[in-house]
Amino acid sequence: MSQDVSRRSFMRGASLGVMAGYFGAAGLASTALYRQVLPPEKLDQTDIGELKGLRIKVVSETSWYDNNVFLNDVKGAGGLLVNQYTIPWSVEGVKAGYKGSNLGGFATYIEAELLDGSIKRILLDTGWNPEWMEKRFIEEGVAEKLAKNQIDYWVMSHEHIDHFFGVEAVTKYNPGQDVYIPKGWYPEGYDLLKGKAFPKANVKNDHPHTGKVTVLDSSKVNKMFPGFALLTFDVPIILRVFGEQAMVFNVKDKGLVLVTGCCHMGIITYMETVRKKIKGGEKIYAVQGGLHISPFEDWDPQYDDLIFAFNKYGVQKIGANHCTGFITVEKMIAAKLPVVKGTARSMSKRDIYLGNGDELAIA
Amino acid sequence: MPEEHKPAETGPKYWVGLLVGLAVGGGLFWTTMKILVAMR
Repeated sequence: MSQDVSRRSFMRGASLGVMAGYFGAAGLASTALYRQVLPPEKLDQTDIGELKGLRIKVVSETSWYDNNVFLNDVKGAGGLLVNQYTIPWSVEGVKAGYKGSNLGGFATYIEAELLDGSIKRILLDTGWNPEWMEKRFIEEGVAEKLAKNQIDYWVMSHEHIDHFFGVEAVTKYNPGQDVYIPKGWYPEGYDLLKGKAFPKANVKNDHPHTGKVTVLDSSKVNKMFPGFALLTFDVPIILRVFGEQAMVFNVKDKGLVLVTGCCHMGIITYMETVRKKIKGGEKIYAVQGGLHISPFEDWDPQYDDLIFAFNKYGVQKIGANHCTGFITVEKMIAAKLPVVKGTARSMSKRDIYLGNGDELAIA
Repeated sequence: MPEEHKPAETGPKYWVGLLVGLAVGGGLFWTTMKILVAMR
């Protein structure tokens, strides 16, 4: 009988021990010994080379002039998933607009100085309203450079209205300019490049593109020249668009500079992809362009995480604008993030971020 | 009280059982984690 008691005593200790051992090991594994459980992440980083300096000029960051007019256009057409080529966008009678049109556009001009002193010139996106974009291209000297064939190529971040529908403002000055687009464009995008009009959406291209079109995909880091690469993201986007690409520059003695059109893939995905795929990506020196956080000036508490993320990557300059949203920039400033201020000219509404005609120089 | 209903005592066998249990429980967790991590 005493043997039974001993066995019961042993089993009682053992059952308590198994539970304590299991949960104790879980506690240790998630704290003091987590490195033994989760081995260090293996990064597959690509060396993209180095630049001597970089100048990023905001040609136009004003997507459209009145958010309500834009949203009513979308709502009236059936919502955010409707094909952008079928929406009758408001081109007249908008008080806040440019000559009554609500259409603005996004385009950035970039000059990169290579280590040997030579200069590479790139245009990112073509904007929306051709009349507005042509005015801005002329004012910033981009039209002249296009006409003189001084721009190496043009990069399309994605197919959205405000980044692409102003294509004839570029092809008018240089129809033969080579262009790099992300994989996922719809046939209408290629048709617009070639000169087709979409009257319902008030978009046309009277100067068909004749240059080379190169489609880049997300399978690898697309090295363009020493110190510059393009990253493509397979991302579905509102208004029936797919795919976006963004730029990564590496400036000697400074670090990586990220230049984005609209960042629909998300700023954390963008910075995290750079960290994993680009040599030196653990530390990002600057981020410039549209960060797509509060384009319609709304806020959700979960967006706070996006603000806090910048410190994790050690970002020292934030040249945000466009779809970043003023409310986001206000919160960045309140969080003491290094936001670069602008001058609020050429129809940019406020000076709290880099606006039309403003420049971010890194050297 | 009949013998079979007596509560088990925390004698030496209890402590031996506890130690064996700790080792088994800890080992069980560790092995499971290693398998899951290897399968990632």
